[in-house]
This record gives sequence, structure tokens and C-alpha cells, in this order.
Amino acid sequence: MKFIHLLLFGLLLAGCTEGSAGIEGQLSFNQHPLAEARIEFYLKNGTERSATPFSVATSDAQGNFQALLPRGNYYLVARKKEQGGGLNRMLMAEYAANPVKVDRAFIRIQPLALKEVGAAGSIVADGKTSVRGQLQVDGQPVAGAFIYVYTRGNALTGPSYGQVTQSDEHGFFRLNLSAGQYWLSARRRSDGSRVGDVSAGDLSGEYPGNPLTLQTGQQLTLTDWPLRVVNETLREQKLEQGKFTRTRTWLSGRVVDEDQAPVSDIYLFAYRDSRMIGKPDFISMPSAKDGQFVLYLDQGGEYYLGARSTFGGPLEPGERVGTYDQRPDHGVLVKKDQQTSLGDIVVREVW
Amino acid sequence: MPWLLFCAFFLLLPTLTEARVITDIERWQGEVSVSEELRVAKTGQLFIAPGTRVVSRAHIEILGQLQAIGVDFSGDDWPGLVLKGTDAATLVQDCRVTGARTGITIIGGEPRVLGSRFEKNQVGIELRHKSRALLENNRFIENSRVGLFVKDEAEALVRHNTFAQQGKFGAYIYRAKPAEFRDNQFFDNPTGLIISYYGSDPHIRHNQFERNQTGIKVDRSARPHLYANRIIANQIGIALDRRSDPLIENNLLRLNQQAILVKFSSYPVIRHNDFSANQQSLVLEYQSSSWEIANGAAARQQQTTSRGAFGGQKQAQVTETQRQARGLDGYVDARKNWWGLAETQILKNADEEANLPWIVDGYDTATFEESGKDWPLDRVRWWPFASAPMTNEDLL
Repeated sequence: MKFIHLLLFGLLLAGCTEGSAGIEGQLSFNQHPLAEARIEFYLKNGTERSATPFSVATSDAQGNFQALLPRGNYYLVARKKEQGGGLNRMLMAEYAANPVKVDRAFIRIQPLALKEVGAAGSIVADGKTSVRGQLQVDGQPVAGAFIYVYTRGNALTGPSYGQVTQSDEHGFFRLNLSAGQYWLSARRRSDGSRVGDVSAGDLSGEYPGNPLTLQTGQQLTLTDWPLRVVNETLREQKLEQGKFTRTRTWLSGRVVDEDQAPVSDIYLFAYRDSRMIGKPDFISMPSAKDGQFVLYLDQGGEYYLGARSTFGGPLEPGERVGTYDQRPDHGVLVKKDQQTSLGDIVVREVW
Repeated sequence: MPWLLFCAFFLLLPTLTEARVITDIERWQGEVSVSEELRVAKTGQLFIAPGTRVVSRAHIEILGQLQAIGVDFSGDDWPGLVLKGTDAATLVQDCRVTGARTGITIIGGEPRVLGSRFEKNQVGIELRHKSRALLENNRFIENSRVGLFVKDEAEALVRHNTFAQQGKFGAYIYRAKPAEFRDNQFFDNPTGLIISYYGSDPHIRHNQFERNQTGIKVDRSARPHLYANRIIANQIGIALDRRSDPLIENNLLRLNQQAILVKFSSYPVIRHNDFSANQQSLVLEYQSSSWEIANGAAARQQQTTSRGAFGGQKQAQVTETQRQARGLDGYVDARKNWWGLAETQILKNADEEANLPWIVDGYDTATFEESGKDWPLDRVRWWPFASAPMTNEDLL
């Protein structure tokens, strides 16, 4: 009996401490406290990072922030977009000592100084070093395309670029850089946007001479950088080679609505992390007309499963979403090289 | 000879149109069946003649130009038309679109959709990505989810449209601020218009909301300006929920069961409106500035770190400062309104602390319980009041 009391007390204590743990600190820019900046807490680093952070806090007038977080390791990124009054800039910083471990109390991190992204930001222009060139498709100049400069070459997509510029009406562009190694990529989306997934008909291409290595004072003119029209078939093939790779270990099942009617065009997500947060480890192709899906995995183990009608970004009204509910934690144990049937997964509309 | 060439060029497509890309000028008339995805490239132009019937099973995506006048688009659960970055030369006029998951998805650009009918789709039209489309004189009838979705910072002009008998919402403004939203009519919808999420602060002007379960719902920190609308015979005229602070001004609220319902830390400014023959004019529920001061920020922080649909899909992209209520003094501000003919006679003999029968607030129920604790229900500050109607309606 005494043991049970002790156990209950221990559980109560654990519950209390979990609720008051997190990360706090102070943000600055140009040696002044930075108010109204976002600090984002991710579970993974770099390219593994999801589009949506696990949690977000905002700095107060003194630049201080505090976020309640469950135990775990977090990668911190701070941002602030400043617009209006002649300003149009993005301030950003990644915490140098990432990841930050949260256990049972609040961790205070070192002060984090943001820098301006772009001309004087994460890629600093020294005023002497530059790259210029012209984008073309079938020999014709491409106006209005965005040229992205990355400082790492593992994935030339997404918002982790250090600088971006846009080609002029004759397809010409100029990048002011400094000595270093860079990877260039260009995209022109038909809706004119700077960010977002490309779709069929858009223009896209990585510079074939990547990476560029620049010396101080070098003024490089790029030649022969053709873009190609994104083809839906090729895009799907590329997707299949990525998240949709066929393997001998898979999960299958059927997506249904609350009335047990089959639901098409739903993606299944498999996470190795039981919190089911951020970028999933595996994604299925959309469910078929009859609701059937196959979700390929690369190995056995414990996976936690969700279903959603889109991927990326926060849930929007009208989306369909659900989880694998045979276990309360939405998990399933998968054996390598075996096929596991999950039965029905129910999705509901979110409004 | 030119006539023959013209006829050859003027394609008659009674047969199946296979997956392909239109890069030049193409013209359709008669019966057209689309079985696989069709794309009109940036350089392409698709002209569809009046009277043409297009039956589709696939996306029809327009990056170039579409002109469809008097065309019937239909299918059985087909994906719908997608207008992607098209300019004002793209025109859908006097058309009928049925059976689609989303009748027309408009991504960016500024196409015109005029005088068309969107009927029995899941969603009639969805606007995305800062689209500046013009939607005028359209009818949205019996779409199973939403007549018109305005999302993703769309800046469209929405005027003189009719929304009737949708499955859920006549129009849904989500994280967007249409440049114009006026002179539309909403009849017999579960919710006529919903405006949701911080940053959704459009001007909603001169619209009519009649016989809806809820005429206008404002939710999740949205702050629209509701001006000079006619809100008549709805179960709830205007419902405010979850920290929503609209400016409600110069509207006519008449014959509603509840004209305005205020819930969960919402602090509107209700000014210069006419209330007439409503069963209840203003009702507060679960509304306490004491609760908001004590728990509001913490509750939102909890929401921020809570797990989402199947994990931590974070919804919170709004700062606490942005969501904080202004001037929490235990009152909802409803001064300078006209409360009705008989009500005005009562008011002339009342002092400003009177408990008015058409207002349900902390004078009627002092507290409500939340998490085992009693919280004082806010009151309505209605003094001074208008002694004559403020709108141009004939109410006397």
C-alpha cells in the first residue's frame, strides 16, 4: 500500500515537472533586444526538419521568450520578417548549440543574435565578388524566375537558401556574394510565387556546374544554364524514387470516412517518433478510388501512423485527417520484409 | 477557302480528349469529354463556344488563357477546373459547373468569373495564393461543403453573388482579406459566412443574410469590419467565438432568434446598429474578462504546444500579443445602438445599470463554472443608446 502511495506520488511529481519544463532565452538584432520575433522549436535538424515546427514562441518587448515543451531535444531557429516603412527584410538565426535538451526544468539558452538574410545576412556580400548569368529555356530567356543560393548541397529545395534574386525581363540575374562554396537552383512557378512546390508546367533547374567555388573579388559569368519544364510524369517518378520508393516491407489498408465509405486521395504517414510531429519518415501514394493504399517502409520496427488529404503546412478547414487507432498511441509493429494489413483507417473532415 | 480553314481550325471534339498540353489556340464546341488531365500551357488559349457541354473526369488546368461563355461543365466527382496564375483575359461567364470536388480552384492571378452557377459540387470555388480574381453575379447552390472558399491571403473582389443551401458554409474566409466583399446574398445555409483566424479582417459590406442557422460567424481571433449588412430571420445573426473582435457597425439585425451571440473572450465593438424584433438582441456565453486575464494567454500557450491532428501539427502562427484582448474591464461595448421601437420606450425610463430583457449577460446570470471555479459573466455596456434608427431602413 505504501509502495502504491509512493508510486502515485512519483507519478504526480513527474507530471508536475513535465508541465514546467521548456526553453527560455533572449533574442537580439544589432545588439538591441528584438521584440515580436518567432522562435521555432524543431525536432530534427537541417533538411530533416519539417515545414512546421513542433512549437513556436514569440519574443516580448525585451526580446525574451519562453516556451513550455515536453522532454526531448529541440533545434531552435529564430526569425522575424520586417515589412513596411521602407523595410522588407527577414532576420534569422539558428542556435549554434543545437540541439537543446529539455528534461525537467526550464533551460536558459545563450543570447541569440539574429542576422538579416540576403544582402547583409547569412550570405554576406563583400562588394567585390559576384555571379551573373542568364536563364534560358529552349534558347529563349526566362524572365521572372527565382535564383536560389544554397550553402549546402544536399537538397536544393525549400526555404533554407541564403540568398535569392529574380531574373529580369531578359532572363539576366546578378548575385552579390563573397568567397565560398555555393549551390544554385532556379525555379519559375506559373503563379509567380517565390516559394512552394513546383508543379507541371513550371520551370526548374539546378546549375549544372554546382558547386561554385568563388574567390574574393571573383566576378563569375555563368554560361549554359538551361531550365526545363517540369513534367508531371517525371515529377511523379522523382517522388516515387523518394518518399514513395517500393520496398518489400509495407503496410496496406483502406481509408474510409465516418460512414465507412471509401475515401480517395488520402496520404498515409509513418513516423518513427511516437509524437508524430514534423516531416514523416514515410508517405504513401494517395489512396485509390476504393480507398486502398500501400505504404512502403525501408525496415521493420515500430511506426506511428496518420492519414491526411495533403502534406505540409498546418491543417486547413476542409482537410481530411485520421490516425491508425488499433492502438491508443497509433503505433504498429512491423517486421522487415513482411506485409501488414491495417484494416480500415477512418478520416474525418476538419472544420 | 478561309471559311474551310476556319472550320478546320474550329475543332469539333465529340470524342474523347486524351491527356495533353495545349500550347497554341484551341476552340471547342458541341459535346466534349475529357478523360485525362488537360493542361493549357502559358502560351495556350482555350476558347469554348456558348452551348458547349464539357463532361470531365480529370483536372483541366489553365496556365494560359481560358474563355468559356455559356458552357456547361459537369462530371461525376471530377476534380474541377484549375486556373493558375491567369490574368484578367481568362473569363468564365454564364457557365454552369456541377459534380466537381472543387468547381474552380483559382491559384493566384486575376481571372474573372461572372454570372455563373456552381451547383452540387463539394466546393464551388476556392481562391488561393493572393488571387485577385473578380467573382460577380454568380450563384452558389447546394454545394455539399462550401460555396466559396477564400484562403491563403486571397485579395479577390467578391460582389453580387448568391449563396443558398450549401451543406456547411456559404462562404468561408480563412486567413484572407478579400479586397471587396459586398452586396452578396446568403440564404438558407447552416452558416452563411464564416471569417476565421487572425489576419482575416476584411470589410464585409451591404450583404444580406436571411434564414441561415448562423448568418455570420467570426472565429479564432478574426477582426472583420461588418458594415451595413442586413441580417434577417436567422437563428443566430452574428456569432463571435474564440477571441474574435469585429467592429459591427450600421447593420440591421431583425427577426433573428439571437441577433448577436458573444462567446469565449470575444470583445467586439457594436456600434450604430438597428436591432428590431429579435427574440434576444445580445447574448453573452462563457464570456468573462476575469477568466481571460487569468487564463487566456496560458490556454493559448497550451493550445500552441498541444498535439494536433495526429501529432504536433502546429496551428499557432499568431503571437500572444496579437491575440490579447484590449481593455478587459468586464464589459462588452454595445453603445449607441437602436434597440427597437418598444425597447426604446423602456430605455427612456431606465438608468444605465438597468437589466434589459433583450440582453442576456452578467446581470441575468452572475457567473458560469469552468474547471470547478466560478467566473463572473461579463456585462453589456449599452448606454448611451440611439433613440432613432441608425440605418436607412423603414423601422418606425
